[in-house]
Amino acid sequence: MVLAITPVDLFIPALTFVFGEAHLAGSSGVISTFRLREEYYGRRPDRGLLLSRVEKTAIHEVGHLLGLTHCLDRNCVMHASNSLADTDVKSTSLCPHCHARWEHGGNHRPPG
Amino acid sequence: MTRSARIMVVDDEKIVRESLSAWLQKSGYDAVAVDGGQRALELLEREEWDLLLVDLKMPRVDGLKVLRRTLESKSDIPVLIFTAYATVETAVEAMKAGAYDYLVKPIDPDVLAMKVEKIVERQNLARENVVLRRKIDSLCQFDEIIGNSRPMQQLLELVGSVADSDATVLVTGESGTGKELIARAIHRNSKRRYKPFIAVSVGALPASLVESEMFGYEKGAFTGADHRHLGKFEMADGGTLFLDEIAELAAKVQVDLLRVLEEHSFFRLGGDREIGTDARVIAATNRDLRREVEQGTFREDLYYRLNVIEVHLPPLRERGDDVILLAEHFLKKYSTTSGRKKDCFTPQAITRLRDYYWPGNVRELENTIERAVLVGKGAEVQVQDLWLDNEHHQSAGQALVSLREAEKKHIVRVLEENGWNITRSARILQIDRATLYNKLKQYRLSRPRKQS
Repeated sequence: MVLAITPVDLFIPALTFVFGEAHLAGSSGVISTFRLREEYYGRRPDRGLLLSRVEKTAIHEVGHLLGLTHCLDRNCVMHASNSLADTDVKSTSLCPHCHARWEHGGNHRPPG
Repeated sequence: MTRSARIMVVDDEKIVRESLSAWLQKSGYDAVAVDGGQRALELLEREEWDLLLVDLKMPRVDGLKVLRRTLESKSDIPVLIFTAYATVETAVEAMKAGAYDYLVKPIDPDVLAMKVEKIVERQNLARENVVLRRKIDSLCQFDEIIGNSRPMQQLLELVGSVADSDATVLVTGESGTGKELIARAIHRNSKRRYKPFIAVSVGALPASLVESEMFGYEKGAFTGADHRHLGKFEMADGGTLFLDEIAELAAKVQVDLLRVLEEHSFFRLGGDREIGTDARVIAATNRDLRREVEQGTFREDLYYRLNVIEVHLPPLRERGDDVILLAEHFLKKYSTTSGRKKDCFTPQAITRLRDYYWPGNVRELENTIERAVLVGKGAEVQVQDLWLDNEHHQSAGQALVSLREAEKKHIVRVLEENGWNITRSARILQIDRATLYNKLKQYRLSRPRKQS
């Protein structure tokens, strides 16, 4: 399993950007620090905040590589990040539900 | 858990359809990448879909064509159109053609996620609604009401014919005859059946509470009113409001109720805004409301407002062999729930059930059978398991009844002794035939149907 990290902005076709990309149950993924920096939003650099965002994004993509889909729990690291606010709200850990899914080899779960 | 939503992602560009469908799969959707309009139309016919995400510009069969064909199939599948070449014209055309929405590439992931989520949520609600409606429909008709006797068949016919109107109904009958059951049957057979049925037993509440229960109150309307409270009239909006024991309604509340029935609007306690209501009112009483009017305890104008249609439930003792049908029904019910095997009644028990006066009507019968199932031994219900005292034997010296009741019973007895021959019965009663016919009408008496 390989997770790459890059300073350049990432996107997938048809979408404006992604924080990271990894295929479900795949073997490699990539995350970008581009939109995790405070500077991108015209604010003062914040190294601590950047590191915590990188950590959450990395764990999230690894979760996908382990077969985990998005979680509805806003505090769970597997909650979808479609904006920086989503990333800042969630924690770095799996909720009990996702933890159990991970232990059972990960499985697709419909949202809602 | 429900199945995950099935989403078709249609784009002639491989990288777009594959990355978008993979992106949706990570949110748990069952997303399928489809390589063009032609293939999309084929799959649309063959399989079930919850949402279509379609690129506008594709060779041969384009997004608009897919959209039009989807709408023609009347399948209600929402179609989200996306395009890289946004022009006002194409956007207007897509929306006019009936697209759910129109998105310009590249799409903000937050926007797309929210739109898809909203559509799927709506689909789930719609599906749930269909299931619930089917459930309600299956509960309709008069499944819960048991009775083959002539008075019950006439009653159900009346209920069926008045159910669909909005007219106020007054259900009368002795206690334990099943007035609420009839009110529910009216509701379930009306076009209001998907809306709430709210029951209030006004007799069980003190006058001050009845008002706040029926009309609700605003915050601060009285000490202890620390939040706004919706009344039953608001809760039953579009549905049916069942007011039980209406004769117990305090004089002050009678005025308020009359006002709501006349104007279809009311004020919450402590409120200054008039609130409209479309609740159909069904009232019930075990008292003779006409007499309450004569005695001045019930408002005459309210009586006429409530009594647009009167549905009278006959007491059990006038329902002929219904008592046996009901007894068998309750026997089955309680032997199933209690796990005690009881199949039938002894002939003596049947006779006893038929002869008993049943002052507490169906409710008393139900209690009697439940107890008999619990206390009795063996597979048959014995007469002694019924615990029915002799005092309420139909032909024994009965409890003190009104003159009306006594007259009615005497007429029935004479008719039965004479095989319902009117001329002979009238002679014995020393009245003419027209008078006897009038009495039959007055007491709602009719010849019981022969049981085969």
